[in-house]
Amino acid sequence: MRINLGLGLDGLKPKRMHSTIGEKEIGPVGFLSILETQCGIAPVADSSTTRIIQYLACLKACDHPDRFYHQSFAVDQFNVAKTLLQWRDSWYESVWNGQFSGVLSDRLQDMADVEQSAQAKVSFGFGQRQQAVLATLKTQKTQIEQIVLLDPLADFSSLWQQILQAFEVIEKPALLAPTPAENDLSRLQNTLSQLASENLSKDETGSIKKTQLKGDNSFVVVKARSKAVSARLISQWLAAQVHENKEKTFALLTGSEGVELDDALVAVDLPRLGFVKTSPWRPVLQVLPIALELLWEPLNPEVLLQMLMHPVGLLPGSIRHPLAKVVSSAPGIGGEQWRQTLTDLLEIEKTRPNYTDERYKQLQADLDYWFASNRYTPEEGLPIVVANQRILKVSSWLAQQQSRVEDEAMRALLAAAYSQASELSIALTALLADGTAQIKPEQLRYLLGQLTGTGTGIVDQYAECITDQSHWLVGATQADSFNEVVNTVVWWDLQATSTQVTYPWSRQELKQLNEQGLLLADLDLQLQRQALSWLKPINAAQERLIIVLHESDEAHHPLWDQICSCLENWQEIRLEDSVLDAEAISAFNNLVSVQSTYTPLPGLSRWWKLDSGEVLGKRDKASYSSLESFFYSPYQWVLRYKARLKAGNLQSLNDGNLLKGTLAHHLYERFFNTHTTVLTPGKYQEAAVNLWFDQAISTLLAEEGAVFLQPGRLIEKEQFITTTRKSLHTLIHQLKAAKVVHVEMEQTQEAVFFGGDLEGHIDMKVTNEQGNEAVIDIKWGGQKYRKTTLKQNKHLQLVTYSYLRHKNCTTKQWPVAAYFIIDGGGAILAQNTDYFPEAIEVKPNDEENHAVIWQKMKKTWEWRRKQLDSGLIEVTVNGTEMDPVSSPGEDALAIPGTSDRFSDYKVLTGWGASQ
Amino acid sequence: MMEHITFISAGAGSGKTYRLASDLEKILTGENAAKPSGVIGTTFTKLAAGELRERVRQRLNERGFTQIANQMSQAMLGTVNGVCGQLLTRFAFEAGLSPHLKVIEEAEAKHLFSLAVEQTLTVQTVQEMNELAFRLGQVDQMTGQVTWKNVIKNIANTARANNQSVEQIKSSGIISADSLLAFFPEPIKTDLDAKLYKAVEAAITLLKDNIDKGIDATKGTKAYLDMLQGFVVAIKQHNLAWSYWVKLSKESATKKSQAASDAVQLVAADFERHQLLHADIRHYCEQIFTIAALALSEFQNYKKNRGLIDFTDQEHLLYKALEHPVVQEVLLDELDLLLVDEFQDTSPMQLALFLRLAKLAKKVIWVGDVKQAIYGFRGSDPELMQAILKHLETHGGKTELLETSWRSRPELVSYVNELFVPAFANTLPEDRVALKPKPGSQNLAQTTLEHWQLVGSNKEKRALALAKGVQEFINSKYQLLDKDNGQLRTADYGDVAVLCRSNVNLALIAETLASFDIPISRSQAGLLSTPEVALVLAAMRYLVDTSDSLATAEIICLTQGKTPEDWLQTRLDYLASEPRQGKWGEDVPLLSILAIQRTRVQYLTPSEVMSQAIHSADIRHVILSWQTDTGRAKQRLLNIEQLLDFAESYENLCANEGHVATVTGLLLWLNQLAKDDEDLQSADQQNNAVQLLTHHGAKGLEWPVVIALDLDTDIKNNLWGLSVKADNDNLDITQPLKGRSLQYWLWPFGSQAKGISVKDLVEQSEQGKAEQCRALEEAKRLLYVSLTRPRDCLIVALKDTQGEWLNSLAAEWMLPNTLEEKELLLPVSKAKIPVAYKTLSQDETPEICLTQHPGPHWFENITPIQIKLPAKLSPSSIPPLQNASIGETIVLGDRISLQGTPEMANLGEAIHALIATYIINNPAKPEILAEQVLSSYAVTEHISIEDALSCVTRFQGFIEHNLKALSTQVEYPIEYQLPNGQSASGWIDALIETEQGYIIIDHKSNPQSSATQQEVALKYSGQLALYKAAVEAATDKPVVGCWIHFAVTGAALKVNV
Ligand code: SF4
Repeated sequence: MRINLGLGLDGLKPKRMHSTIGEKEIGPVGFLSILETQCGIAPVADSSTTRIIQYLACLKACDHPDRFYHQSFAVDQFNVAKTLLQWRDSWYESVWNGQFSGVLSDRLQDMADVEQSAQAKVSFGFGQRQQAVLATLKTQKTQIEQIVLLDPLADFSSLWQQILQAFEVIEKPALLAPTPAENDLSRLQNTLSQLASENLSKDETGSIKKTQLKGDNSFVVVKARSKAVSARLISQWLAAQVHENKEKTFALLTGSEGVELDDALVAVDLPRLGFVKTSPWRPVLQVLPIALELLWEPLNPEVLLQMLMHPVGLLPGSIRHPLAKVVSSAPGIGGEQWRQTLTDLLEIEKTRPNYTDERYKQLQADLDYWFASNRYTPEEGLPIVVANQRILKVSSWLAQQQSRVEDEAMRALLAAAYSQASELSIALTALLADGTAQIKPEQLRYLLGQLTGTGTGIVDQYAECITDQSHWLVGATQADSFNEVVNTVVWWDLQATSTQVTYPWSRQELKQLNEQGLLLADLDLQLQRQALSWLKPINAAQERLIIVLHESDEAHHPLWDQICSCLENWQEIRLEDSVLDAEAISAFNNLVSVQSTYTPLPGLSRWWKLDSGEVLGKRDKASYSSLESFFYSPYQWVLRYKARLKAGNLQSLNDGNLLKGTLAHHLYERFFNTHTTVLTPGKYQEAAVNLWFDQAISTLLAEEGAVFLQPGRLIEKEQFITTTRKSLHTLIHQLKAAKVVHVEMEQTQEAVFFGGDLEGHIDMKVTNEQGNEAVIDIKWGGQKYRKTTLKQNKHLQLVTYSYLRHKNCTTKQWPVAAYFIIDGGGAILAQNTDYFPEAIEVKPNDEENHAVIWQKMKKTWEWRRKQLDSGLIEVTVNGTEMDPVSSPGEDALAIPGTSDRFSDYKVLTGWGASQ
Repeated sequence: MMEHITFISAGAGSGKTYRLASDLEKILTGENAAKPSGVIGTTFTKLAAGELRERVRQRLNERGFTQIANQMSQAMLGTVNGVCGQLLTRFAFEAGLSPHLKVIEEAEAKHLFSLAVEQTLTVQTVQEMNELAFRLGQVDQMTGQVTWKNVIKNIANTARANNQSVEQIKSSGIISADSLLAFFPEPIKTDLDAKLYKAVEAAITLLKDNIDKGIDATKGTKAYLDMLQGFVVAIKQHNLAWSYWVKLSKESATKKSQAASDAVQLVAADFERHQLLHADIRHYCEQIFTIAALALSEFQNYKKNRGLIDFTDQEHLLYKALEHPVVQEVLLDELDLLLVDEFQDTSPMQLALFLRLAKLAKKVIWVGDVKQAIYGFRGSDPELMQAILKHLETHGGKTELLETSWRSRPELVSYVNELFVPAFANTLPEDRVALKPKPGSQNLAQTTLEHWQLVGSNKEKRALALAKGVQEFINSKYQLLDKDNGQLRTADYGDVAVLCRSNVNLALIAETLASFDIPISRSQAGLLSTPEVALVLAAMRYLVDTSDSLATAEIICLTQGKTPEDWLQTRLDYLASEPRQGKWGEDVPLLSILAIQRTRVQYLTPSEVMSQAIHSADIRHVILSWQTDTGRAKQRLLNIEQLLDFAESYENLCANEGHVATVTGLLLWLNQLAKDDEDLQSADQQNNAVQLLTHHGAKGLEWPVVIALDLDTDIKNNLWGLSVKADNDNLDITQPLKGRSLQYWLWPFGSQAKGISVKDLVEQSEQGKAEQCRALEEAKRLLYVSLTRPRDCLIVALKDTQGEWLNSLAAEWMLPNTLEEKELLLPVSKAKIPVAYKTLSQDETPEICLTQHPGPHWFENITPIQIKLPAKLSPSSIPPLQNASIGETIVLGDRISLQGTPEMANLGEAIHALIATYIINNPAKPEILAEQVLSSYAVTEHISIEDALSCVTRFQGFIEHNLKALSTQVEYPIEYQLPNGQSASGWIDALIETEQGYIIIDHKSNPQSSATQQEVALKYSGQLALYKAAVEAATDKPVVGCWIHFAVTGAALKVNV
């Protein structure tokens, strides 16, 4: 067997495949494993995390206050273990035998001490594996007849050099010669080669003479802002080449973002090259972390929503999505809506065609397990036993899915997630065995992070081929992998990679390490070698070299600096501008972009006109909110109630004043429902109310307002509690001052009105000693705004409630109406103090009673109805102008010009010129 | 000893970067050359660090030092924090830190600090503080939220930047309260609340009476009554905000009821002597410092436990680590050069750090310009810096001046010299201020300075006037010198920058310029409300959440340019139809393409879902069709990139904090960004657009034409609020942070500004004046930065020439003020420079007929027609052949007995390996080899050495006797290019060469009964056939047989393929 060994050949190789036997082109990693097979040495199965944990145990065993790593170990044992493991692994690669002798720095001495146990307890690293092979090669043979080195022997580490001594080795020149052609490409290749050998001639000032390029398309630079756009350019061009240039080879070289190129290739109907992007954020890999996060107290509603809306989940979407809806409006677990939804879900389960008792019980148990289990505060920590249970739950789900799913990509992901779960369980069990019973959130997250690592790629994004055009296009991720000529090289996304190349040891220590016989590579030489390796793809190009740079990159590739310092006048394309302005890109065989058809954004318009208003008929049952939008923003009314357009639950979590208002509502409702005697004359028990309040508010927050329990929001939460409590007292006081004797909360009232059926939930309906009623609407804030509405007789909501009572009560009176504003400590706003003597009085500009206002509402309603019946919908948004038709005329409501501040439909109502 | 330190004073545009690069080149290549790995250099931004590295590298290359240029990656160049981070990682063990420090960005640190604050608070303290804050007006006007948490954060930050201990912080609270209250009159014992309550009650009664009886029907009185009524409860509860006291001391009812308000005014006027006010101030000041101190230690713990550090920690920890003898020793040995760029912007803590590092470095270069120190508001202390530079001069350090302005034309250079030499005369000698024009430059006739007087009754109108000016300026075809070729050319919008004082002004100017159809470029928030991003988000929602009908509607609107008017009917019809056919919108081609991608969502990360959405819905293409203006189109295109960058940031953030990352999480996070106005749009430098920036943001940049706005504004000082007290005159260079302390002077009266005598006292005090002086100096420096930005022409656009900021220069001559003035006489040199003056006014946005552009172009669409196969074929995945059959079966021996329950795959590999090594080595002592191999695979307890060896020997017998092998290759690689374009590669277990041709053997260690052998063997027929084809394709010999060898059961089966 013959091996072609090159330093950069472990990944993708930029060459066409041929049929061969007995020959293998490979990089160091692959080569080592061939050697192991040939030597009969078992491969190392332990993951790097396992090795870290093994080494960590050795460090722990050796630890005492004088160890150099002692303090660091106390703060971050995992990373200390990881770092030091790297140190000693790299020493083994430099032919360390695991021992030091003589006088040494403390650090080296400590490392040698640890190594005494680590040598046996930690499974082999790369260097140790090399050493094992080296030892075996002393007594055994292999069937490798010859090794062709595609990089100079001197570029291989000393240990490799020792191993290679066991074989017949042929060295091939690493760098291909510049093309002999008389073109820019060859000028570039020659100049860069001369620069590398510091051979360029200089002028009298000591500066090198720059090579002038001519612009013959053989060397082109593309500068782009967007990777997607540059990838598309390259692909588009390649797609045009595919038919003409089948015999030629095009190589695409890129760093870590190759998937972007692949996607672009697919878009132009070319095969993918099989670039891979690994990520820990694949949904399946997030299932376990989410499940574990839910074990912490306080419950994080954001994580809960993430769980409920996750693309994959431990419970079916039909269960999770209705719950997500609840959480998004009332963040928390266990509130009224939540409980109702659970009941509903279980009911639905009963009506399923394939219903079984067993499945029903299973569902019940699952819901219990996921949403009603105990949670643990970060301070106490999560019992490892509990964590392990949860992991088990997740892994058995994963196993189950694996057996069900056909899709190969998904199966691969599930397998990765499964091993993530089992590795975590192993690590936790090890901790438990070490005497740790509880784990802190950050430790758990750290472990998970380590185990998940860089995650996985997606299996459905493999390399593809097209019959009869195989491999004219090849990909590479390392400059080092170019050992054969190709016609064209595209170096896409040329940018600086790793920042600093230094050893973590001082010069003194390096000296000592050398004295101990370690053969550490000379960094200067390595850098020189690395610089030469950049020339490999440059020289591999025979006809054309295209370099694509992205302006968003933080730093340039050193190769680019080289080009800038010794060449001038290259062809450069500013991509976005060229494409958008349709410059013929001559360097790309005059590729031209096509004009996109002008389809302007929908503009703002005051009216939408449908052919008929038939479809805009009445709503089944009106509510105050529907009435309000009917009056003021009919477009919203249509979109919401007729077209039933609504956003999903993916991205909303109720919060802020809106949520505060709802919570306070619920709280007051509970209070008055359970404290029927609080209004009986005499002094009420403030302390008792407070006692009740404290208990009630904490339950309520946990169930429906968990956002306020999150770390970082204590002050706001306390402000909320204080305000709500204070306002409750104010409310009681106000009611007492008004001699109210009876309160009903959240009363649903129905009545017929000019538009059909009307339904409303009156926040508070109160009755005083005289038996007179009043309706109160509770608002969180906006005192100023409410005052204005009262002043201008625009308190339509109150009037509506009043109307409902007027219709439904025996006396047919229009009850008094008032606002109760919570924020600021509680205040009643009313148009007079007749009913609420301590109310803040806001005298209306015109004395109009509810009946009059109602009449105006009726008139307005009829006016709007007529519009809609004729298919006209007014779009009352900013940027449009009212016209004569926009006003209902005399004796109707005054309609404001616009009402779109809280519109959900901003995207639909059109865009102004400046947007 | 500071002989090894050089300070390079580099005025605006004096070629600093060039100088640095050439200095570095010399240092790295000369005698006793420094090693790149021995260089530490800090710059103000990452970008600047990258630029410096590139410049130096290019210069080294240009001078033929390619090897050294290659080593530049070893130089430690970065921001102060970047460099600190690298050094700390290097010395993690000496510093007792985690070797993998997670550095948190400012936003994250802010969040963590607020968690730490909470840990230190009791519910009671919170309530107490909330009440105090309310009374003292420490409430955000917009949100109604108390602000004391921000103050605490601020105190903590500043304390750390000035190296304050917990004790120092605590005592600062007491001292702050003492020093502030010293300006107040002695408190009086009287219960002012009770008095006020009485007065107010009485007033209310009186006023009501007056109103009811119709005596007073004025609005003013009514409003006054409303106010009183609103205050009553609070007064009674001793809870009236102090700003309301001030208000009550000034406001009154209208004349008819004035008597009622007089009494109230009288009582309220005593507010400065209210003992509760004194108590509130004291309590509040002490509390915030105490909480800050506690929170700070909690914060430190919190981060430590999570292996996190923030920027300030980096500086502190490194400062401390530099005390460690080993660290000192190593750096003394290795640190060849310490370079600090933008030295004037270093914080006190950073200064201290640089002084320590300087002691260890062989050579030190500090570069900066004290005239450009404009980050006082971020905690840098120009006075401290000056003190240190003075020390440098008197202790052997070198100071070099860069003397030439390479940026501006000579007229501007002289102008700036004559403005700023006198303005800075109080702190700097002339040679530190004045620059020489670049040699060989000639004076030109074009105006170098213009004064535009903006006429207009309000900001909006003046903005319109400005826009008109800009337009006229460009239309006038102003000639400027091209930077690249030195030739005169006509100015374009892209040559102009407009500088504003605040972002608010910037927004107004941006909008106004845009309404004139002037292209602009500016970094601004609002990314999420752009239609292009709305489209991306809608497409994402469509992919992930099938219930989101709004997303469907949005996509239809945006991609088809249709308002609901156009499609509402179909939606309503769809809802009305019974039964409903599929999903609404499915028939829209773009939506149906998206819908196909839904199944892939479960593979994708949040950012990939975003890319997928963009890709599948062809959004980049769609958004180009929205306008004919390519500049606009490009902005949209780049906004999409910006959004993708945000998605990536989100994932990085999750990684750093150990959070889960999901699409939901991403969307929530983006929404939060938008809420906080942090959803910045792409700030691409559009080629042909006017650049809009703040004066601060212009630092380090240059343009041909600069329009400086807002120079007529006031100078704000830092008297009220948090400040740092330092005694820089008696600086101890070994302890530069000694003697510094914090002071917080609380402003307790909200938006009230008049009628407060304490205010005047404080402002007239020594400290008040000093603070004003400091503010004035900072204002001058900012002005220097602004006025030195232009290369060709400076335009000062003002409402009027009176304004504190402009007047800080005390140069009345500086602007032409009449149309006739075509030249401005410079007072010292008596030189004349060409200038212009104009007044501009514009009341309305002009009607613009939009220029007809050809419209943006995009790549041609290509419809997929090709059939694609997986490029790689895995031999083991090839299904069995239909027509394969078993040819012959040769029994090699008995079934080997196994002990225990070995893992079969592993055992199989062990036997496999043994067969291979045995055949390769043909060992003299087979037992040793077997022992070695079996133990390597850890299967010695499951199979005996004899048994294992017998597997091998009987196999060997088989190939020698039955197959008549000429040679045997084990573990033999094949690569096979299939005719259909696919390729396969693999390893043949044993490839036997015989006279007739090759024989392929595959080992299986299937221990099942021999009954199933045939069945098992046939399973591999596909694989064997592939190997056969591969071998035949690669050689010219036929394959004459394919066998499956069952090592454990002892059989070989020939499979006919
Ligand atoms: S006093 Fe100044 S010059 Fe002297 S040793 Fe200290 S830092 Fe150096």
